[in-house]
Amino acid sequence: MAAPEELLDVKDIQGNSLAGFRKDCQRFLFYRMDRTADGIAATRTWLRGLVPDVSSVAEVNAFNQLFRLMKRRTGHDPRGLSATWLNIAFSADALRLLTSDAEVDEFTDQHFKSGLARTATLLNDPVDAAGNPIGWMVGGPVNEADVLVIIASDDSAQLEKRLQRLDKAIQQVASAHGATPLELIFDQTGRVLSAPLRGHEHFGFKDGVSQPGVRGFVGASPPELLTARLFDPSVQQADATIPEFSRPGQPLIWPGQIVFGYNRQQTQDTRVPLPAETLAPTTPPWGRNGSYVVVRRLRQDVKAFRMFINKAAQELEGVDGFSDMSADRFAALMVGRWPSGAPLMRTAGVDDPALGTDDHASNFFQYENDSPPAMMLDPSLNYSGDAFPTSRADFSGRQCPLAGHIRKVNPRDGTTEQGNSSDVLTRLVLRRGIPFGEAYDIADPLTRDLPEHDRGLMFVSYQTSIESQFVFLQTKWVNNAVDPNNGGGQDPIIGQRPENGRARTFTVVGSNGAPHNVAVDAEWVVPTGGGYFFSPSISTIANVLGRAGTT
Amino acid sequence: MPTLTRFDPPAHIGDFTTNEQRDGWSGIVSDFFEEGVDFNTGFVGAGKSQFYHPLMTSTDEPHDEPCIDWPAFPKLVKDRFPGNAMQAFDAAEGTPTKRERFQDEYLEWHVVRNSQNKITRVSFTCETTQYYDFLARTDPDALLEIYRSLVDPAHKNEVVVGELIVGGQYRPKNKWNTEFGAVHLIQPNNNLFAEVMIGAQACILRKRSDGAPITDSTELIRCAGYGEEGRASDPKIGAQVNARARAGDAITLRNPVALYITRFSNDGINHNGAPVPSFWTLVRGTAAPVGQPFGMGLHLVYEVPSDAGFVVGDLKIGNDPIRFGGQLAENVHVGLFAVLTRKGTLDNPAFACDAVPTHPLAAASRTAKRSGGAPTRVAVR
Repeated sequence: MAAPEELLDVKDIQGNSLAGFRKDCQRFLFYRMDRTADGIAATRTWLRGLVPDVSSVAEVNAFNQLFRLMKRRTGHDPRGLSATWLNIAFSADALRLLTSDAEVDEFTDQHFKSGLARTATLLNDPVDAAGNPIGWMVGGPVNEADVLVIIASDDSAQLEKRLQRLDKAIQQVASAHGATPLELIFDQTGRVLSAPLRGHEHFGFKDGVSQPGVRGFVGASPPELLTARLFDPSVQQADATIPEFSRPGQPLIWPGQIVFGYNRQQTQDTRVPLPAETLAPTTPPWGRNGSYVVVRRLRQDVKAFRMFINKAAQELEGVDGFSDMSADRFAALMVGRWPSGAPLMRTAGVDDPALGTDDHASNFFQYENDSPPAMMLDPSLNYSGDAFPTSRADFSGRQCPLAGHIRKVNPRDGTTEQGNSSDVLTRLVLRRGIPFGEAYDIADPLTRDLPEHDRGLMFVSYQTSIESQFVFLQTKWVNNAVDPNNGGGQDPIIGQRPENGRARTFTVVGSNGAPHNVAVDAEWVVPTGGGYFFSPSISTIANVLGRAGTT
Repeated sequence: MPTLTRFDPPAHIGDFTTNEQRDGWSGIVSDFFEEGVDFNTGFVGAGKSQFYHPLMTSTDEPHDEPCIDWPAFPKLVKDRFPGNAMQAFDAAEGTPTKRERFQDEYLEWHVVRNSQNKITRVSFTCETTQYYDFLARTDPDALLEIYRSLVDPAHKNEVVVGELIVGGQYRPKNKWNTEFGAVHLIQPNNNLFAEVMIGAQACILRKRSDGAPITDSTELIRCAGYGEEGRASDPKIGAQVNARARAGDAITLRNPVALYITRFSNDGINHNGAPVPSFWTLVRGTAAPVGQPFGMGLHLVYEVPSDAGFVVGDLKIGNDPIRFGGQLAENVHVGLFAVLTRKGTLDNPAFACDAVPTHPLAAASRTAKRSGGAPTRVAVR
């Protein structure tokens, strides 16, 4: 039986973390602060004025619930229902300016305090001889951002209006203080791709399928959970040795993994938390209800990706055990899913769009143990049942390569180098990414060949430890040829490797059971910017960062 | 592969000069395997043990030799400080007592600092007390020579055999293996018997009270009691071995049987941001063959050449200055090599968690007397 879940302070926590904006249009505004006393005072003034516009989990979650309810009833996205959200986050340097060195030093995460640019070497990003990331549009040594504002809307016109209001507020504060608080140094538009790629990233794969479910209540009376439990309430998940799930394939994690001040996940009992009050502080007191935000601007070279999968598939066709290889199948092997979202663990040979679009089935699978039978869902969902083939134990990576992207970043039931499989839950983050740039159209050279058609993914993740979540995932698993799945090479999608001309290795297993190493000698996901930020609580913005009378 | 004739010294290292030594060492390792087989036989009956003794049973073709390895920095310590790695690094080292108490992933280390308290050298060992005790009994001169090659170089000529062997007994926790170096493991759980026995005990298939097979790593270790579930090593060894046992394989450890430094990396190490060449030196054991990820390292040193103009403590990993040896231990993996043969040919029953060995051999086995159902490795709190 799981321990009781906590009531989350949803009016104080910014909304993109636990609820997620889930908007088609987003703007990522990277600002540099004026470091003079007047500039800092102006920033405080601006922040105080901004507080009413900062969207909370309470608001965003309520909207998302309404959206889901209407969609379930009508069968399509609700027409006319729209909202515009705003969240803000700060670099460690910005917090030093707005509070004090002593307070910021209370953040124990060294990566946050160092900033993304200074840890690029650790992430194996392309760097120059001095260790500086190469070609970053924001977040490099000369263009680091202090403040990140994310505006998101269902309606691009509404988003534009909110942006104008934001600009106007900055100008008004500048006039009043005689100092411009913030200079916009980079502005990135994110936009969900149009049909038929809606919900997919630029390589063509459905994105955001797998997210952990965060425990906790958003309301006490009546009790309302942040993450709905879709299983039939009359059927208990009695097997306490495995994680408790909120829906098929979605394990529940304790909220302290995402937001400071709450119970954290421990590595042995998945259902028993590390109580927040027993843990040494890892932030200053005003860090409660905040999260770290990792932003990575990842350029995707779709042309290079497509050329490689074609070449690799052709080469493999001549290798024993791979005679049925195709470019699409090879791409699916690298990702671990088919473009529809259908997991290889449930359909290895061919894409199954019906599985990919079935939200109750597409994420229900394991890697090292045979999948249990699908659990009964709440009858009110009117779900007809998961009749797709279940996943079977796949130690060798024959069904899904050991380094397939989704297996690398979330080994699920696998026994990793960290010991027991429960450790995996401590590594998970909430991803809030969105594509940028126009979709690549293979039939239209104008959308695929011009250099100005810069496209990719704004990777955004929320967590309470950059070191043991984002950085761990990137350095210990994604970039590692062996871990977490006992071999298989580097993650061929987002893995980075400085040696060997940056070529990675990706192991696929043929129908004869023989492994074959493919040299991945092209790069198609290239970091081009980003930053480590802290997304404070709304009360901290108002009462600490924006407090009047401080210098 | 025919039946082995002898267990070789770790990494085939050339410390032994006589066949008596070679046979003697092989006998020690062989005893551990006998206990492992006895333990299994006590459950499944004579001739049915999936864990086999390679001096007595052949390894048939085809066979695999998978490496099972894990990160060297103690996970139990890391998990005590979620979100605060530096506190964990600090907690795990600094005194011989901390090393003996906390460095329990089969790797221990010793740090040398200069007058500015900056680290100048970190040496890592995964060699066992059993091996050094054997050397002390069979070749004290070689023991002394090896000690001198592994302790803090500033003191190497001060080592005398009389401080290693006292009253005819080898002293594992002598000052040269604590205060002035990490020559071999001293953490009580870090021993060769534990390595063999975890592999052996994990070959027993387990089931729940309702008869369902137990496959999860945590549930397995709780059921079988072959180690500490919070470590990285014990659950990983157990789960990987048990998975192969469930698949019906015959399983043993690869000769030469030892714990090994399997991998070490230069990831993230830099000087003022600029990547640096590898300053790792494997001083005992063998590196990974070209193109292969896993080596058989025994003693590893991280030290910057004296003409570089800076020392280890001037380097960073990411943006963190290297202040603790444990930061470098994060870049090291330790492990063992298994052997899998006669794949899928064995079909033993699963046993409940409270089952005890019942076969007559078990009653007489040293395992039953010595370890019985008790954990092979226990937490040192």
